[in-house]
Amino acid sequence: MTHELLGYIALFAPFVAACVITLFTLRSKATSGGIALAGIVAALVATVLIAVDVFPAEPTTAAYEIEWLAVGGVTIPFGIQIDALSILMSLIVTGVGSCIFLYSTGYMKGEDGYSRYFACLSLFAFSMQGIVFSTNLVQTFMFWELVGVSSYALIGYYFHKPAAVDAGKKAFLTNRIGDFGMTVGILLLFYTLVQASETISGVTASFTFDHIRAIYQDEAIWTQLVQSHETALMWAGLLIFTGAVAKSAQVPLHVWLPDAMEGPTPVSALMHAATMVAAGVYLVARTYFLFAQFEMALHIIAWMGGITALLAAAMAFVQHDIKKVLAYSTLSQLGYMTMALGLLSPVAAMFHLTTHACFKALLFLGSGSVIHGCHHEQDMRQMGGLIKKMPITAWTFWIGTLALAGIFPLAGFWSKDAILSAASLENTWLYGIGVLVALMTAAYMGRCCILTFHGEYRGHAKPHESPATMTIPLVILAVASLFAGLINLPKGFFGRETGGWLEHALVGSAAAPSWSAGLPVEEFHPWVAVWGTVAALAGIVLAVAFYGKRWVSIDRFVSAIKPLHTLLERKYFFDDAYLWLVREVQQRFARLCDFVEVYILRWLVDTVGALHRWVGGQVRLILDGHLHRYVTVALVGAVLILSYVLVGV
Amino acid sequence: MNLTLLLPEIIVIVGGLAVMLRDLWLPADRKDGLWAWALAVPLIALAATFLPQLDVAARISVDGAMIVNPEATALSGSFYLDGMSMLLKRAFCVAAALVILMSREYLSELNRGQGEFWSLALFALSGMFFCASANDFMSLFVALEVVTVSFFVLVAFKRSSGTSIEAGLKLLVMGSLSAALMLYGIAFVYGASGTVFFDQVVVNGEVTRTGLRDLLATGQLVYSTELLIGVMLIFLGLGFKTSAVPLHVWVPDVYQGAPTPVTAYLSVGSKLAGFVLMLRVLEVFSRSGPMVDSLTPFLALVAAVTLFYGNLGALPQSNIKRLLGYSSIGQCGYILLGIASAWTVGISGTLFYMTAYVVTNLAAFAVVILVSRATNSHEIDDYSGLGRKNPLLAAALTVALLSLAGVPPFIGFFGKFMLIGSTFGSDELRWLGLVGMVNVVIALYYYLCVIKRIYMREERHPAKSVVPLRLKVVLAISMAALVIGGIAPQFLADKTAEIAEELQFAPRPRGGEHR
Repeated sequence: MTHELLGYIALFAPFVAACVITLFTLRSKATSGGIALAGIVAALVATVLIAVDVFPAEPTTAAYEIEWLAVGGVTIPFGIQIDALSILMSLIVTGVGSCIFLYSTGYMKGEDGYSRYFACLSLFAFSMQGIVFSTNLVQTFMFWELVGVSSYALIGYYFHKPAAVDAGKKAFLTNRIGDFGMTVGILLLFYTLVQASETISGVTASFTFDHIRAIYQDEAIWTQLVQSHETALMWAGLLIFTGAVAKSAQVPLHVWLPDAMEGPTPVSALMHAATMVAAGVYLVARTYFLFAQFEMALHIIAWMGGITALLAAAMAFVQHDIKKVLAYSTLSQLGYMTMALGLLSPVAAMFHLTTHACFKALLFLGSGSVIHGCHHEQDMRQMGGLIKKMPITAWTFWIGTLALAGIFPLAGFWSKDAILSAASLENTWLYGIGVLVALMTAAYMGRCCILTFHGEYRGHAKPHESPATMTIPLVILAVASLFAGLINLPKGFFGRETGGWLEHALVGSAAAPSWSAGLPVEEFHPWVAVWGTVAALAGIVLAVAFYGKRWVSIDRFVSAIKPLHTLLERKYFFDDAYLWLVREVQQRFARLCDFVEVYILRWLVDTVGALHRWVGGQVRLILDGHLHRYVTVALVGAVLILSYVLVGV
Repeated sequence: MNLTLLLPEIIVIVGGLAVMLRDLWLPADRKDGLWAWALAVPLIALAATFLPQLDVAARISVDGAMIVNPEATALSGSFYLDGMSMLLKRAFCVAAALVILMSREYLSELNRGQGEFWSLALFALSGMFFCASANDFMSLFVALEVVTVSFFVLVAFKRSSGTSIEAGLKLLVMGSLSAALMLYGIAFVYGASGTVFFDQVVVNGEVTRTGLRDLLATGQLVYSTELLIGVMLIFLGLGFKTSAVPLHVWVPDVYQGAPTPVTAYLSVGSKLAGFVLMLRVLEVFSRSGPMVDSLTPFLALVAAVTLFYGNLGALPQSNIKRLLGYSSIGQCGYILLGIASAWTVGISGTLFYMTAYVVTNLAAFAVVILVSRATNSHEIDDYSGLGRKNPLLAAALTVALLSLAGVPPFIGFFGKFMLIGSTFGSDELRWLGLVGMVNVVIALYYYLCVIKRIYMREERHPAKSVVPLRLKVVLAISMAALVIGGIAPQFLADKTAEIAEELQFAPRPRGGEHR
């Protein structure tokens, strides 16, 4: 089968599953689960079939497009972009997705709306695949919005719980802010290209990635373009980046992600490990040519990532809900990826995205298994000692933790090392932040593991190991978390001559020329690795000191840093600030609009309507049933019309 | 004489007579089966229109000028078969077939007169056929009267009902008045030109009979006030059929009083017969530039007044048939708007809208018939709760009304779009396009009021309508046409554009940019 056909299968298989479930099998739970699983596995198989062709070959890119809309002189295609970047991302989405779908069949057993869950999940997978395979900005934006809608449905899955509904709304609205920026960015980019096309030969306006990239990378055109439109192009890039800021939950649009934990745990795993939040990073990687030339833009991106990583890691310490810890950890890791993007290291970002997808999905599913085993208890203070009751969950969770902390030789070590290496070369401050965050990561994850699995059991339920449908995905993901780092062993590691496999596959793909232009090939820096490992180990030691052995009293420590602790508990007052903004500013403006609407516009509209009704009532009276009057009306009318025309002529 | 061209007409007339005779031989208790005979006639006629023998080029090129092909005429040039007449004949066949499917239930309540009803419906159909092909003022008048006279009887068919008789009488009086106006107009035209024929007849290179098309094209007949008065009077007379102001006065009463299937038939068949004749007459006189320049403001004025009259009058109505009556006056205004902008896009839009109007209006009336059978009422209030009680009927009526209102993605939207769009091609008529837009909004209000009752009010009549198979067929066909025509209007639009091209409305309105 051709790549095009396989690509379309990988894209549409989950969509077909969603449609079939919605239309036919809502009543039958087992069938719905099976269909959803079949859809995502079909997408996985199709992706793997393309991958075995694409990865060994020399990096190329191919866009298979059909004309979708033609407005004026502009055509907007719909198509499939096949290159290493999209296939890697699709492998993550469908691979991790398959594990999560399988896990869900066990986890969601007995829930009302089981079929609805799988329909939404499939729709979500379809939306995500749409972003992955998109060939142009419009298609990306369309699926970007679809991701927003389907994530809304999934986060608010327990719609009888007000908290879940609020969380869904919050996620949707926060994302809308980013999407708005993105829309403006896309339009600004297009508009700028239209303007440029009038003066600079060789420039034509388009939404297609390949097309725009060709313009950006043609040196002769680029020099002219940058002279006349530098500011507009930079702002276009940054505005498109705001879409990524919201989806990938960067400060200050990160507020939706912790709340989104109200959704079912597999949803958290899917959205916050492998897919939705990764979409932002993927978008920037895909459109890297938009940023690569602007130092200012890269600085903003890098610092935004670094700050997010630090702030989120700190907040993870004060959480008691096991899923919230993972949520803040996700924020922090996404900060890492964004930072890597800003540090001219998109390969490192995609590498970390890949490994993170494995171990974060593992951790989320592990936490789901714990929650399931403890009868829907999420508070870590009500856990402890679970390693004896649920050994598979505990061991796999520990593997995930060590991978996340970046312990050699697990997956997280390699990808984090790649980011820290990039930072050490580009920006010392950010390097410092990176190492600090590595320490904090290890510490809060150690805290989480110790509180959950060690010590005495503090809860009241009877914990038990989860069924095989849930533990099998855990084992698969644990294996992946152990070895995923091997895909990109750095140059210089034990005398390696070349860069990693992933680096080779990605550089040369669709976004490649812009990536490679002046981008450093990742090299192994022994000291960076050593400091990263030391930081991670130190973090774990701290966790043991505070929570395992209790050498230091937590209460005393907390009271010593009371203001900081409050700051963290209140999430740096972000939510309060936004609430104030909505209540005090937006609400006042809304009342003003309401006043105008009710007392001015409605009056105007009602008057127009009433006038018409009155005239209508009068018109009706002409025809009152008397035939003689009808004849009169007809004849007089005829005479009037004839004389009007004749006089007029 | 080329009688092959008349095959559809012959089929319908013979069919009508056959049904009448068959009726005489059937015992009283078996007359119910007669509807199938009646239904067969328009279907066979429809099939006949697709015969290759009828596919004759309507125009031929002689010395660089496109003239009427004598091969496409019959009955000494009084009968003309071109793309427009063919399209309309097919539309009439569909309309008659759908109406016959709808009438069966109504007639079984009537006990007697079934045969006459079917025959009259078919005779009316033959009249419409001849209207579509009329090629001189005499055949035009006779064809029109065949339709009108058949409808006098059909409207008054429910002899036990006072309103039905009253409606028939009103139609008769107003019909006579309009016939008088039209004949007066024909007399004016004859006086000014000396002929009532559209085409000349040439025997052995010698003109044995002069025709208006040729007189106007060669400049032998020029603009004169008498000619203008004559044509305007003819248009006013035709306006009776199409329910244009000021001869629309009969519409609400007759629509309300007539048996509902007859109202449905009247609202599409009779109306389209009037429109096709308007187009024909306009086409003939469009060969003279000054005539078009004087007729355009006249048609525009009639269109605007008709639009406002129909749509404003519909606002306070409480009876669905009366509402549809006023709505049909409004719809007439839209088609007139296209006729007034008589250049290619306008005519194409007009033909498109006329075709779309057949299925749309018939769908609405089919639902009205079914609902009134269950509730015994035509009050709009009695449609409350239809959405819950009878979701399929409610959906069908909603789709039909939305299409009438011109809401995408239904076929009516594209019709209105083309009609209003055509007026924006000329500076002179732009105001008319704005009038059309304002009226879209007004019309939307009263259509939505019905839809609101259907879905947002508590039901008043628990009786659920039983939908017989025949009406299911009607609804299925019309719904399919509404939706498919709305999603893929190109098929029909291409066809109507081709016909409009063939009609050759030679002069363009002043100041307009020809597209």
